[in-house]
Amino acid sequence: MKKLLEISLGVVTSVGGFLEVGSMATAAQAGAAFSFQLIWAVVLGTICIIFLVEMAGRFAAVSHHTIADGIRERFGFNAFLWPLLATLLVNFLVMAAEIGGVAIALELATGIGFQWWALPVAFLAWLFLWKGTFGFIEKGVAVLGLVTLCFVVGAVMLKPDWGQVAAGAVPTLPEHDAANYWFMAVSILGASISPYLFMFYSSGAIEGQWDKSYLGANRAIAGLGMCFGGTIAIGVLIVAALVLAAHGIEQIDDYHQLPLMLIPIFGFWGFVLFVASLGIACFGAALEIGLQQAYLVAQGFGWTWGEDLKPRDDPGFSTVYTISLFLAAIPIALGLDPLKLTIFSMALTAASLPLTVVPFLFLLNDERYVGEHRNGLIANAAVIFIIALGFVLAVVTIPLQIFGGT
Amino acid sequence: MAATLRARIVNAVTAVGLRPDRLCLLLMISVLTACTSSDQVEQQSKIAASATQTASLVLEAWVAGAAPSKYTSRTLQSVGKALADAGAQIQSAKSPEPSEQAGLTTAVGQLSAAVTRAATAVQNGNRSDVEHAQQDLRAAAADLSASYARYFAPKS
Repeated sequence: MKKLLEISLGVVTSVGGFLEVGSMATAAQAGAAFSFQLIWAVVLGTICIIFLVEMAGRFAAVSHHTIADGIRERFGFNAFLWPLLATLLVNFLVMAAEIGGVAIALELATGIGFQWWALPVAFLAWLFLWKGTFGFIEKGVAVLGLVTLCFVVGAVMLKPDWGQVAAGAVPTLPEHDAANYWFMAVSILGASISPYLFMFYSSGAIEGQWDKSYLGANRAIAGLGMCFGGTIAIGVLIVAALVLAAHGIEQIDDYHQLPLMLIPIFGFWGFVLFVASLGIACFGAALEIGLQQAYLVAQGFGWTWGEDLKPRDDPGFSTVYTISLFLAAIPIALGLDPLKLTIFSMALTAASLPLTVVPFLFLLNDERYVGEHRNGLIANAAVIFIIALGFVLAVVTIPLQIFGGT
Repeated sequence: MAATLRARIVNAVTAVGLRPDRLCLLLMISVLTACTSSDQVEQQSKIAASATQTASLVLEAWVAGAAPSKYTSRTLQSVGKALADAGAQIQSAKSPEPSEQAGLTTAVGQLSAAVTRAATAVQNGNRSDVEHAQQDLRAAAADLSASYARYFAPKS
């Protein structure tokens, strides 16, 4: 019973981690511009992240190392430095986008410009991290994040042609705006296969003191949780296709357009649900990325770390999330468009994938760490596919950003 | 044969004082510049059409009491800015069809004016002015659609 509860909470938590401003914005843009045609990108991204999250959890449960720990120990600090710097930079941009997402939600709710909310949001997030425990942050925000299910409810209420939805899960060539189509596909993949997600998951497994008895739960959480998150992202895409595109709104260049997805379905409550979904999902993601920055640096330099410790017991760890949060708030406070930053940071996430995914192939096949629980044929084939995909994304992202970016 | 041709091109390029890599860069810039004027008008027209539909949808929601006034007003301000930008970009594009281009610019200007009137009406909470602005918006959207069709119609 206890395990079942843990799995349920894990699934809910995974939803909180999966759905954030990046997956919402990219799914909405894709649905508005290309109807159901890019569902395959969400499906592909979800399958990839299921494999990576499962491996990250298995690695932590068996070896009692986080992925970052493992990379540093196995390859040495010099080799760890490149993925560390790339991930810190990408996380910084994504965290700024998440703070921007909360700030937009607050602007929509109050009418006060988003830039005024950036620093208060960063302060509130810092307060949660400073005072809160890992369980409180992970589960509390994730449970509230269930409000994002309104997109799935909305999609069902709109009665889409499910045959067409299913057809969208098969990759097809674009009928128009090819550069924009591929750029959207790259951004969706970047939003789905976020390095912070699987790195955070492995740190969470260590915080939760996972051992080999958690391997089954890990598999269930990774599979069900990420599928659940992917379903909500597909819900956003369907709603955008059936509401925005149907009304002739094919270009989403402004975040004010986003609440219009839910208003025609739920009326005024659609506006409230959108604001709550955006605010809660982005705030949860900002907390997780803030923690992830601290995990990365502390694990990289061998400092004491743990969200359940008092800040005075892990001063380096606490300093990193403090600085990260306030630095990430600055671009938004200066008025940088959160939607543009989100799309850019999702594309950059995709470009940085090889640096964070290549080590999986070595770590999850190293018997010194995972013993008999090393990768099988399917898991290795999946990692090799993700690495190849990562290299393709790394090469095409910048040209697509120039020719197809919004 | 191909190698000889390549060597001749390289020699010719070098003779006029340009390195092949720089020529490639110049060619790329030229191709991109050549693409931009027509693409720019098309892209900006699409942005204007999308912005217009956004204004139309948010006004419908406001009239139905489903969108708060502050949100509606800010959305209309953003749409107005997007339309002004689109109009400026269409006007600045070097188009081979100046009269059709002017038609598009005028249509986008009318849309922008209708959106500004709607924003003011929403701020004042004046429902009948909003309904008038909605009618103006629909008329201006039809003008934009007609101007767009004229601009991209096959020329004899």
